[in-house]
Amino acid sequence: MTLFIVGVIVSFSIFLIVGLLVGRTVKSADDYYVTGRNATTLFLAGTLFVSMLSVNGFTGDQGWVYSGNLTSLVLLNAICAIGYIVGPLVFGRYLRRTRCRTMPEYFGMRFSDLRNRRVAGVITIVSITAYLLATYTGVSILLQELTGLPFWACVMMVWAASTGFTFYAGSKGVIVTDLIMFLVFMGGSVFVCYFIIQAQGGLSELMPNLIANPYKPEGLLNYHGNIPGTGADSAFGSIMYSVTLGIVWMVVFAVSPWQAGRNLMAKNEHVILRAGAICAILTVMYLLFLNMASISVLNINPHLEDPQRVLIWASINVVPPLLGVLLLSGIMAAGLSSDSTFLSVIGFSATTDLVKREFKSDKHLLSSSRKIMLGVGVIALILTLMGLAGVRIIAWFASEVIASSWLVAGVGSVVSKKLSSTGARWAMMSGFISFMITRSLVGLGIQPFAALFVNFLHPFFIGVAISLLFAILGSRLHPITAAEKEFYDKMMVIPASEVVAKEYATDRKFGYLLVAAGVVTTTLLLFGWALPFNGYI
Amino acid sequence: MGEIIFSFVIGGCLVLAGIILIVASSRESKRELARLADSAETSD
Repeated sequence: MTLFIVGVIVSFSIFLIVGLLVGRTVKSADDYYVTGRNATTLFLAGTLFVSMLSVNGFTGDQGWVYSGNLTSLVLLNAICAIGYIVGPLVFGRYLRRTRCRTMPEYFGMRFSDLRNRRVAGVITIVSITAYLLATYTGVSILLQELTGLPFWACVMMVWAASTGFTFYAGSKGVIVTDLIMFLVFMGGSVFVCYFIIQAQGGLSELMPNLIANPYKPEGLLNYHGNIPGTGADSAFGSIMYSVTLGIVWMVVFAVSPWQAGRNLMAKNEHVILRAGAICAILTVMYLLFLNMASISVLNINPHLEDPQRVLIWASINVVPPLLGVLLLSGIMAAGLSSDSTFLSVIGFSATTDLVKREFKSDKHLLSSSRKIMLGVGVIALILTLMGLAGVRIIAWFASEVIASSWLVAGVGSVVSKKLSSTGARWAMMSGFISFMITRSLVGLGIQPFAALFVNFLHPFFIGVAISLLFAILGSRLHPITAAEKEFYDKMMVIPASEVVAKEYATDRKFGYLLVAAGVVTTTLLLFGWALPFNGYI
Repeated sequence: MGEIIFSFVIGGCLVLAGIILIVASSRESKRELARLADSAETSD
């Protein structure tokens, strides 16, 4: 256990030192918020994937897999991976073209209306505060497991480290630590997963061991997964749950501040698409491998009290200590990195998107942002200490809020010439409100709504439908203005410097790579699981 | 049988993403390179 505590301290220290060093190079708000807009493919892929995965990918999601919903998560991941390509094509790269610093700022610029910026700002703050809660909880659980300290002490330490990092480093520090962590936990986790799978007899024994395991959850190896684990009462309901959440996360990748917003840092539009291709492949293939390690633990210890600690338990009890330290430190730093990203987005949004205010200088702007971050961080700290829900539930709630509120306004702002400022604003507000109401009814178990709002009537779909209705209504009653049309026309022009035949050819190579990855994935699933499970081989 | 279909769906999602990227990139490069060539001729 001492080695793990040392590993955690070293991880924290490297994290803070990197933040302080990079922080010295931050000279302007552009540097702070969008790293000076020159991130390369690898940097962007690293920060995108780490931001998506965060702590939830290693805790909450793996707990769900361990509890019997491997196939549910694999299906969800496959659907949402498409968002890494479609998202930039219909939204992300246009966001970058406007040279905005945040997404609420984009909505304000696109529709020449400060009110749109404010509404988007409020939604951003609500959603990201919820996500911040999830990551504070996840990292604290990890720290508690390693150190044995009480939960409240771990939360305080996580809050202090992430707040300190955010104050000085900004997005420049985040993108550097994201890349380091991306490489560390990717490399570390591959070896860790190998050892976990080996500990139960190797890859060839995984399926036979699971089939023979009397303690495995019901439905683990079936295409529909553990049905009650999705809140459904039929195989169709279980699949629909995965499809719905897959679509939600696809939309999240397309329009959320912590995913689409990363595109603001890209060197050019080709980088956005290539980074998206890398992330799509990792979302399906790397996460499938990680999930296999989690279900391997069922053959070693099928009685974990808290399933969301499955990889933490395995890192401490199954794999060589140094590897375990590497992985857990990497997860910790990934979580802290996410905390910092969320804090800085909240801080800037609250400072500039909600209230019209002139700042004397970038220094003054950054100073105000930091005060807001401190305040919001304290609120999130208090909510985390209250222990409202599991990591996965909170994180997915945060993603559903954004997806429901911004899908129509976000994608519509690019694909529709007729969506007006009023239409976009009403779409965001109605999507947000209708989602919050229906989701609360379901979350609180209020009948008949909890039983009714499922599958195609999931609160996400209700929010989007109502959002679309109000988008059309608002645009009909208050059509677009000349200023909106002018901005739209300008946004549609691809910068001449980016129209290079060689760059497009490279983008297409990434497309072929995606196709190849898909073929390999299907082959592995067929011969490693589907055919043997059904007795064909 | 469901597991077999499932396997094709999972890989199929990546294949679909790849096809979308290839097609979008091809169409855009043809359109934009042609537009640039037209602008260059006009300015000449």
